[in-house]
Amino acid sequence: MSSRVVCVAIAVLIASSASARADLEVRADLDRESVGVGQELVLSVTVTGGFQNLPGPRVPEMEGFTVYPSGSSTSFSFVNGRVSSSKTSRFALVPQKEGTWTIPPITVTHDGVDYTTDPIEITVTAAAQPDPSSPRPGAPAGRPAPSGGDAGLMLRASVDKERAYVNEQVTLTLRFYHRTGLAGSRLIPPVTKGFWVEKLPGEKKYYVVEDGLQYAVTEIAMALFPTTDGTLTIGSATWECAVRERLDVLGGDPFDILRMPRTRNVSVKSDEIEITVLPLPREGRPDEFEGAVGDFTVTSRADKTEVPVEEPISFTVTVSGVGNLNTVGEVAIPEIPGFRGYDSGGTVDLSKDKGVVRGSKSFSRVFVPTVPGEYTIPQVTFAYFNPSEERYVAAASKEIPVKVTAGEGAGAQPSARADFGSPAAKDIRYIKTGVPSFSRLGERLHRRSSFLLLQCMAPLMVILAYAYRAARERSGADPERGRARKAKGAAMKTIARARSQARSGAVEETWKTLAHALRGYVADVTGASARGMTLEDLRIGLSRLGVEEGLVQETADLLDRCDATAYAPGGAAGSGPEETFRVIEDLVKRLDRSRRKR
Amino acid sequence: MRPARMRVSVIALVALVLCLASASAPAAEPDDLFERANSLYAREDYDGALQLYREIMEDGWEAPELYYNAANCRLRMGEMGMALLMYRRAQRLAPGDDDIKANLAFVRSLAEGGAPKPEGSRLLNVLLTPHRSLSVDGTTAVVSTSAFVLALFLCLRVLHQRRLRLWSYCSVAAAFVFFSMATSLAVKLHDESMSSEAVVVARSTDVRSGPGEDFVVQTTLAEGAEVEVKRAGEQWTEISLGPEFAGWVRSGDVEVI
Repeated sequence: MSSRVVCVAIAVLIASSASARADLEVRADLDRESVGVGQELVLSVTVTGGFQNLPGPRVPEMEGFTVYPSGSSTSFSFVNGRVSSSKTSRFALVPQKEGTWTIPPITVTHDGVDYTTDPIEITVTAAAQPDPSSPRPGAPAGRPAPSGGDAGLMLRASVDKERAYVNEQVTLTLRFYHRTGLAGSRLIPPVTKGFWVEKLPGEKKYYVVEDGLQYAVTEIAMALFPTTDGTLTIGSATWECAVRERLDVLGGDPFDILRMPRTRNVSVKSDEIEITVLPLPREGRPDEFEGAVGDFTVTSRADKTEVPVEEPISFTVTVSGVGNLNTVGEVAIPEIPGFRGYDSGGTVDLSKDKGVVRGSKSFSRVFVPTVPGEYTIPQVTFAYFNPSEERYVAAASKEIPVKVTAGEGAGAQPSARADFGSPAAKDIRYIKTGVPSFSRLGERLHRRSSFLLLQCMAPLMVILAYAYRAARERSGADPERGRARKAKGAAMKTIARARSQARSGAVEETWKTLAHALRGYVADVTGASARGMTLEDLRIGLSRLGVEEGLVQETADLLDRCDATAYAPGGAAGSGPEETFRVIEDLVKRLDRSRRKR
Repeated sequence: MRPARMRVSVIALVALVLCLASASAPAAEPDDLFERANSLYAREDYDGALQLYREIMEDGWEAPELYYNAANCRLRMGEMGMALLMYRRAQRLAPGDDDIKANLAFVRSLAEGGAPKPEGSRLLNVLLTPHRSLSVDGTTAVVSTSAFVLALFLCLRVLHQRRLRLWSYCSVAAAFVFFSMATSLAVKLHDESMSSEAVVVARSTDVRSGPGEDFVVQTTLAEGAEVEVKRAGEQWTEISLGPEFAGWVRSGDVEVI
């Protein structure tokens, strides 16, 4: 792969709108720069942008080539809240004539803006030229061998190297060849005992011509990292397929054409591959070495370099490069005198572009300065074994100077009430000591039945207020009726006033008030005037209301007695005022009941 | 209905309201455990204190103070993801609590990764302060109180018409508060039922492109990263990190708030 000649043409956004629009980059690659007539070459169009759902390319007619779509792959990553997405569309190109040809610009349209690639020149020779960097089976290092064929099916496995160091990447490529139509297929991956496996993205599909026959090829790659030295074996992979059988229209039953196409299950296996894994040399191994193999760089960064006391500094060390970052152990970040430090996690971002596992691994630590002064965050050393140079390398980050100021007075802590005791002590607030009001888990106020019942009260209050006003308005519209309704209450109030007059010794006034109470009641219920009401008026009025004759007579007698006692003291009173009060109250109640019955 | 009877009915209604309003919370069963846990915490026995706080939770009780204290224990024990989870649970019950806000900000300053939180405009933040500073129960109480105040002003407007204009203005003001807070409550209840935020509680977790180890690792989240759960399964959970990115993590590595 590394020796493959790649012709790259990069087209960028239209300059005038580049800053205003989402970044979109379109790139076209050919897998070789010269090819023989009838051979196949692969054109990859990669669209990269900061969002998902990237648009696909429009491939124009290409003079001198037959073009087949050969699949696509997408990948995206999310780093520090930014999405980066890429979509690669592949096209198999089969040249028809020799000469120098130009792959025309390929256009991708997004939001009404066209992004185009640069044209690419390709030389087509008369005869097929074997290309050692070709992705065709058998070309790369290793000994790929046909695993047999059945109905034009083959599965070939190859590796980019048969000798590797522990934890060095070995790329295994599986190519599945088929000439017949498939109703379905699935790959059973090989047994890879003793390897850490990372599946490489981007299943490739293309066509090749071999021995005059054209095959469709599906290519899958995986990165293997040996975890131990010695001779390790990559087992056979199996591709299980459901193959559609061809109809023999001429020689067979002509009615077969009316039947559903028949399928049969076929499986093909790849050969096993042996890998010689070399142990990592003991000579020159640094103390910091933790088993990382590849080619890495180390950088460090602090989010602030001048802070007041107790303000945390976020310090991040990043190891990036080619190699299996999953097996990179913790990087030791040294302590700094005068600082409290806490680990704050880390992140791994892996990329598997072009079949190489690479990426970065970050380790973060928060330093909280406790004493003012000028400090240095020391360099961080990371040791790894570089397999291409076959030597150990100790990479180191730069030192970072930090200035700590006194801050605003003594209370520079972020908390009003500090918590004491552990490493994080002065940075978090203390627990709450008061006993809280516990509630049942998930219970909410609005779900309590008592609360819901309570909520009905507010509208009920308003309804009652409106009802009360309506009732009041009705009584205001018919004053006589309202007066009659209040008659009993008014009479009782007058009797009560008479009782207080009796207690103060005003005898005459007491009897006058009692007479007024009776007369007033009758006046209210009959709608007449109390003033000047005679006994005869009283009898007629009550009789009209339907009060029993006996009760009418009793009322008249009682009124007569009250008048007589009031205006002829000592003459007519048969009983004391207290007894009379009770009698009159009772009479008013009976009159009211009798009246209401009617 | 006669006015006299009506008056009696209103008095009875008010009495009933007062009785219901005085309905108290469940019995204070976990109080002793809580105080014992606090004592252990004061003696720096964080593990012991946490055990007791957890016992209260397992008995089916909750309170913002309970989650807050448990979060402090977790933080002391170096379990940043669980600490953040507990602070978030405490904040859900008491969004306006300054201690919870301060400690949560501290834990977030230690944690990395997760979905970036949109900040919004300053005016919007000011307008949304009552919405953000009240819990669901707090908002419910405000809605209920404003409903009663509104009802009271409407009653005065109906019965005491000599100051009709005053009661009308008061009613409009109370109605504004009532409908604003009722909207806030509806939004909170909707969010509570629909949203399923989660926190990474494992030391780190790989976000894969599909539910299985065979899928590509897209990124790795550190402990304490806050994510949105889209689909939860027994083995794998689909999460999102902002509007444009989704992936799958092991279900045991995240805990729903």
